[in-house]
Amino acid sequence: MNTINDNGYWAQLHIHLQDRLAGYVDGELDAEQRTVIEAHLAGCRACRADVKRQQLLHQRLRNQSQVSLSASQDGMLDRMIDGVSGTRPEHVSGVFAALRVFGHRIARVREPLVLASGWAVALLLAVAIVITGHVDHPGSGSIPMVNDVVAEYRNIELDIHHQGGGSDRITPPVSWPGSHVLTTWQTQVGGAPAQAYAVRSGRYLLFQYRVDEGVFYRNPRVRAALASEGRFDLRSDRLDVLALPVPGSGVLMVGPAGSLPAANQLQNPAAT
Amino acid sequence: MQSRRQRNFHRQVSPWLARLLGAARRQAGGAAAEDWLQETLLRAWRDFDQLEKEQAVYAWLLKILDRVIAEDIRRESRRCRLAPVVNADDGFFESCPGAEPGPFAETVKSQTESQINEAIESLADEYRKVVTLRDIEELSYREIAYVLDLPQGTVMSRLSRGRRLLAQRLIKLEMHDDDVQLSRNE
Repeated sequence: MNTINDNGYWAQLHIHLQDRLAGYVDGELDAEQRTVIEAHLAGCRACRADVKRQQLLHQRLRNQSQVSLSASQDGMLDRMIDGVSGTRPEHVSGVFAALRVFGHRIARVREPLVLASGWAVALLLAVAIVITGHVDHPGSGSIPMVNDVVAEYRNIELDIHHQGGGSDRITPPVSWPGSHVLTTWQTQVGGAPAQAYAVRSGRYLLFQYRVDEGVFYRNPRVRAALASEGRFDLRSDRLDVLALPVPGSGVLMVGPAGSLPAANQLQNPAAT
Repeated sequence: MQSRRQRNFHRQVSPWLARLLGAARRQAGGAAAEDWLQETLLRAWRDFDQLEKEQAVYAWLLKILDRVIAEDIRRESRRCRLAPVVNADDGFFESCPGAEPGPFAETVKSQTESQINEAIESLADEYRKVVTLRDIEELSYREIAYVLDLPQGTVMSRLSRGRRLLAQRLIKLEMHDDDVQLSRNE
């Protein structure tokens, strides 16, 4: 009997045929190839053992494909396929959309409306005073969620009982040194419920919105920017808008031009 | 009300969802697997009209999944394990009593599902993919070649090498378990 330690032609043939043993085990060889392998197997104990091991592995591994899902996981898959087939196919971009709608995550519990309350002076923050007169918002193109937050920022009037250091009862999606949450409320962004936060940052008043994932990742421009830059920025007239992904949703921030925090200042409590 | 396209999509894709999720999970943990599945379905929905009638739907979905994962790995700059040039060493199998078919059958039987999965995950990507697609997903070589864009001959050689490497890992794992047991008994 030959051994695989022999040099020369036999060793080369052995290595060559070793790469075909899987085809032999799986019945993927034609008659001629099978004959060659069987002739080799007759004289090669190592390859016979290899074939047997491959058969045993195949038998064992085929049982690994059984996937048992809980009822909730089944439901998640149903929601996922419903959500996917509810989109317009031409709107699905090639950008990787780990950043997209995940039906199973959408069903998150929204925090109830919490108003900051405090000791201090009641401030009437009329945002319309900060940014006056502009009701259109060029630059946002056809991004409904951006239109919505810009419009709300321009038009809303907040009656806020300002708490000196901000409210530690309210946790916004994103914070940065020197930012103080003043209040929060529920609103609609892009046709879906969203949680809004008024945040004082220095002398500016900014709004933050925790936006439904389905809305947040709907626009291809936003998705492309998030995939490549990790954020989406837009300056619309005298307002800056920033979109940031956070686990389970997205955050939109809007404030006067130049007022938004730098990227290296941002802290995302939800991600830690 | 669902359109005809939606109904067809549901009818053809829904039966494979659980298996597709399982295939994704074998490549990564829970959240990433669900993300990949989501993106796979989005692309499948987008390209559903391109699915040819005689094409195997599951192989088509697996091909999309494979691309999604590859893009994600590139995007995340995760290190992609390259296939080693060398094959599993013949010398190892010759010198190891546990490599004989009888003891190896016991080894394979005694390993838990998670141990087997860990051993598969430890393989280089090129080998892990073909082993998974053939032995777990039970695709034909033609389907694997289609999913991975490889010649069928390459599928065969990678599968041969992948199974040898996997056998080697399992045997070593068993030897390690025996050593641990021995030291506990001493």
